[in-house]
Amino acid sequence: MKASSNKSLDFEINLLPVISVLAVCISFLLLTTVWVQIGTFDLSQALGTEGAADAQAKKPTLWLTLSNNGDVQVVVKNAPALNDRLQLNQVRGTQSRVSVSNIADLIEKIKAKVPELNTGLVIPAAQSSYEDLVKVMDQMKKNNIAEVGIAPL
Amino acid sequence: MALNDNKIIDNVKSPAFSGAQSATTSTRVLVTTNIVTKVLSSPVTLTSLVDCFTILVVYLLVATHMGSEQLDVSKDMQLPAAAHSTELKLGNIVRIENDKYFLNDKKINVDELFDALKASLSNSDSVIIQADKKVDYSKVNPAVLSALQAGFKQVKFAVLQEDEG
Repeated sequence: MKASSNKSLDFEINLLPVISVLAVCISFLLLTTVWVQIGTFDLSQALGTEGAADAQAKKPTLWLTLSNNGDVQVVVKNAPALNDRLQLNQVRGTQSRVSVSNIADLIEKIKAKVPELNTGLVIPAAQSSYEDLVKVMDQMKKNNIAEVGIAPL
Repeated sequence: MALNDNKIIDNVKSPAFSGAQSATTSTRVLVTTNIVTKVLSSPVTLTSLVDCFTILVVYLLVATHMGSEQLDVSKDMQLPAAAHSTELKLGNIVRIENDKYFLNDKKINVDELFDALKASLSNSDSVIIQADKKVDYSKVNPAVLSALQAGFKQVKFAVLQEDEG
């Protein structure tokens, strides 16, 4: 006798528990996700006699001196290959704020002429904006100046 | 009219109702002895809902940074933004808020900052300075100077990570 094979192979998945689990997951993740990512900007500060050792090595160094009115003096030290026009520059600020874009352009030009330039030092003024300071240092890192330090007042 | 005279027929494809039937709605026809009433029900398509939920869960899981350190920043404080920042690794935290200095959430006088940092050097050799972006550098300077004098190898500024480019 032939066995009956009429049993349907169709089956139904109950989606309601799946939806419940997903809804709980979404609620939990929405509550716990941190949307603002905080990182750190690392300074390369010389400790003890490190600064003197670097000075002896005569490595090209970029010095950025910020003034209270937003002007920035850009000096490249120990870079004889660089012409006078690029060795000393003054970047005017706008409305007492540092013109970050102009500084970025200038650093880019300097870096193109002195590729071995790898060290930068920012000398802020007392009234320099902390935001401007970080932006300037960020621009230096953007132009592959890996060691960026700050001079305390 | 007796109730058992009623008969419900699912998915009737009579020429009269075939136009009203769609892929997502089923037509149920209540046939009575005298009246033919069309009952329209529109079930929610749960499959697409589950798809949406799954996409949301995957997106949120990707957006969540599991295991990364977090820094408590008060709502009044706006950190400066920097593209070339590194992942936060907690160390000693000097917070500057309303001209007051806090070392690891403990309020401290600016004159005592050096001694306190020196004492906390054994915890970690890095110090993270957390300050509002609008403050002058003169407010940040005591923290930088004290950290360097205390002998911290790594001095870091807490920043908001922004996309490069």
